[in-house]
Amino acid sequence: MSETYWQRHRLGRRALIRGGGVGIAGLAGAALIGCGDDEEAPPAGDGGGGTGPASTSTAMATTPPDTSGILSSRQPTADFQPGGIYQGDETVDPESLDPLSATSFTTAFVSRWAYPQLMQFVPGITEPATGEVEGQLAETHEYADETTLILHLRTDAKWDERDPTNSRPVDAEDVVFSWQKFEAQSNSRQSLANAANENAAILGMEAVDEQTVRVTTAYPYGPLLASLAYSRWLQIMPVESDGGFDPRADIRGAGPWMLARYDRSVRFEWRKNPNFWLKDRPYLDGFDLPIIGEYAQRLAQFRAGNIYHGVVRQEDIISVKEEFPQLEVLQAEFSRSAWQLYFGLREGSPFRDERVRRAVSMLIDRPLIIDTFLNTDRFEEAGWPTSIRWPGVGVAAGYDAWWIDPQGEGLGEGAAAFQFNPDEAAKLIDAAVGGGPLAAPLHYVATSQYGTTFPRVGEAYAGLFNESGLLDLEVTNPDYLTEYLPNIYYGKGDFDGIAWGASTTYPVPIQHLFDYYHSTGARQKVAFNDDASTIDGQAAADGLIEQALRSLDFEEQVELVKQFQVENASRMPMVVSPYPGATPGFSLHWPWAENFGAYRDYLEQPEQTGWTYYWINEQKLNDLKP
Amino acid sequence: MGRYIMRRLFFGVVTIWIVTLIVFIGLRVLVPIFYADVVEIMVGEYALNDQALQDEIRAEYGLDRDLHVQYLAWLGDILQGDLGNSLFNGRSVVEEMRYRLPVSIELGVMGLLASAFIAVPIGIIAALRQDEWPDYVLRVYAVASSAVPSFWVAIMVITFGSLWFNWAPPIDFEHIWEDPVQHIKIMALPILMIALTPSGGLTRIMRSQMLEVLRQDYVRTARAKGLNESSVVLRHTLRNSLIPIVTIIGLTLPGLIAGSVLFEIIFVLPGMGQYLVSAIANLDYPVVQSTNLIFAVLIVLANLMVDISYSFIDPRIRYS
Repeated sequence: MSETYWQRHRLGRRALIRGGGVGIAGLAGAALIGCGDDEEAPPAGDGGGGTGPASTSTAMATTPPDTSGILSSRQPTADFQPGGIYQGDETVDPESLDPLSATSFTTAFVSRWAYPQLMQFVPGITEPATGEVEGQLAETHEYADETTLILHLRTDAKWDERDPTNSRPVDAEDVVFSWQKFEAQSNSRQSLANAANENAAILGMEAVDEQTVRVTTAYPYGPLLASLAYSRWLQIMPVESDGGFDPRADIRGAGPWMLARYDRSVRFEWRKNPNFWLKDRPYLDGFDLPIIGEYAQRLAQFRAGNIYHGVVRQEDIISVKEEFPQLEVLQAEFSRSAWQLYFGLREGSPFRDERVRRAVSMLIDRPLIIDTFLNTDRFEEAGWPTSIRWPGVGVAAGYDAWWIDPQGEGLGEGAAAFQFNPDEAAKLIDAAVGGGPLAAPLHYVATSQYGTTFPRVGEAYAGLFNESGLLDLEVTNPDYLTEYLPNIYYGKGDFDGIAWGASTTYPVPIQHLFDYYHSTGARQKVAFNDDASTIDGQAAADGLIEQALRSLDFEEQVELVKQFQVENASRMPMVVSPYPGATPGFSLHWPWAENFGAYRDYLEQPEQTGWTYYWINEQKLNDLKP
Repeated sequence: MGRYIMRRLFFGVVTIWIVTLIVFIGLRVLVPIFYADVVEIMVGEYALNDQALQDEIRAEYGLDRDLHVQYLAWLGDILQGDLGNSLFNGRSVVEEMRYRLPVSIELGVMGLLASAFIAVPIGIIAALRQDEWPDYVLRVYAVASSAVPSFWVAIMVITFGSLWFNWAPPIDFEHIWEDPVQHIKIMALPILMIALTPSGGLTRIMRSQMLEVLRQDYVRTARAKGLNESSVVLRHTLRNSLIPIVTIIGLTLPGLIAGSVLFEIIFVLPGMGQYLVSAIANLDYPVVQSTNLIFAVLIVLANLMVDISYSFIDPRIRYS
């Protein structure tokens, strides 16, 4: 079989679009909006057995089978030595420690060491977590009806022994207080609180008695339990945080850890909470987390064995592992973030025509983008296990149960829209608008909000599209806060041309579909000023999303999301990019960090689950520390 | 001298007041016109479309009042010693400065002293051996240390220290009153790194000043009187060469105190630089306004101290 033009020119084009592409690590410092699972240290595994009955399974995740022998077995140890202080690190010092009024998710990442949640994701043991949800503070729960959830709080949960909480039992008033604060102050309130967003599900929470909370929703809300398990949203704080202590500067939690010392810009010291309800955990006495913002410093500390896991960037992983063969290697899961190209939908926009949107998708050489920006070839050459997936229609590849592989047969005829096919793209554009090139602006943020690789990917898209001769895109780099967010990201299609943008991670993909793909979603990019008739087929898409969102049956939710992907593959309301997350990253840890990676978290929130199983193998530490 | 100092202090106060006005107008009027205001930053991307939340925040922090009312209220608080609280975490600016300013002052002062400690002898040697190989070598050092950013050298030291010796600098910062030994261990390297760049410039100035003074008649006279070379250099030349060095040190110090942010990040130090940069990025009004005020005071005082020190270094200088 003879080579095509594109195959012959592959290396040259790759070099052309690579520019300064730096691989996954270029995401270092990515703004939280889009970093999801793709921050520089890939999620490596954690978890922890919770209590209470398993309830709702929201996803099934898998990683590629390892036949290389390079990866750690992730087997939990049969024994453990209690005690010891684990050495980790933080990269950012949050502005505030109050998760319900802070402006950045970095606060939630710190406060969730101590503040509990109502529910939690069941950690995977050896295998990836599936997204199944179980009780945390809410030991059990039941639905009184389709819109009323009753939560029974555990009776053995107590707040921090220090003043002003003084080991007081956690009660329903704390939950109601936290909800009301979330509803009033959280910058994520529009995702859940109906008082802040008429499309959001939760009407309110009220105390039935000391240990019982009633949650009412505006409509049957499928992702409710997963939402209560998502630590970026509702963490439970004591009522004493309203005046008894300053929650912006200190923490009084009820989880496995308590904040023993916080030196701003320098370090956190977390210590075992003697009041934690699971008396056999945590195994450790605590964690020390210096705040190290500079990568060279972090890497030096890791190489010296002063930090036990997770700081090595993808481009350094192979060389560091070769230098220190005793290091253990873990491979993360596929990403649950989906970044996309979306379209201006003003009257007369050519992108209202699905043939043009499909043509844009067909001009993307997905393997080329993946090779260029995710450096998979380097790992393949070194014999490391690599695997590649393309994200589907609005569903990232990490949501295994929900995702339909665009390279498989599940999408039917719609799969053709994912294949690189400039000839077909030319025909589509010819049929839709009488031929190219279509002149339009391409908008993307070139500053650091989404990391350093993000604008390079934008450059690559501009290059690919313009090289085809079918599009003539002029790049604009709008200011993130004053132009991009109000006019384009929240613009509801009221702009010209194409935009390349990131999106956030949600516990359940239905929530992403509702926010981004429903004509009334808070971040929708498919309907000009919420008008569902802007593009053909949107009313039907809205209906499917609503049906999935309101279904309390997991299997039905999954089927509806899959149906959405099949029905919308050819419509291509947005074009999901294969970058980032088309391949799972790797991480390294020292072998004396026992149980690291054995208990695996879902959505990067291991502090109250997997990290309670860590222990330090002093023998290995003495023998193997460099 | 007393009247001179009083007059300088009066004009210093006027200068500082003008600075407060410029910073306030810039931050509260111009930045919102051309960029954004603090509330938009506070709510972030997720609530940029949540106008109700933004209104609540404005009301809570008094940001919905007239600007002149806010300015006068801020000035009134300052006169009572209250520099305000961060809008993001509620922490008092005074408390934060108490925590961070000692570290920054130590970095700045010790860094400059170290740079002078390096630059003065090097400059003297280079001048005394003008156009000989020690002069060439030391001039290369002076140019190179001025040209290469100190933070880059710091990263290289850490990187190659790690690669070659598997070494990592200590990062468990403790204040000097908590653990002096640990404190010195941690501060030594950043101080040395901070000293590098100014030492290059100081070396060049020291050398050129020495060369100029060495050609003065009174130096020739001193030599003719039979004084030994060390007396000529140290008593008659060095002292008269120091005025520009003192000027540069005095004017560089406030910048180093405020501008050591990269060293603070690299070496995990709780200084003013990170605090100020983060406040500016967030448009945290009380923090930016008050820290600028403090730095204006530092600069005014540094200028005054420099001017006063001239009269001690050169007895010919008198203020009236």
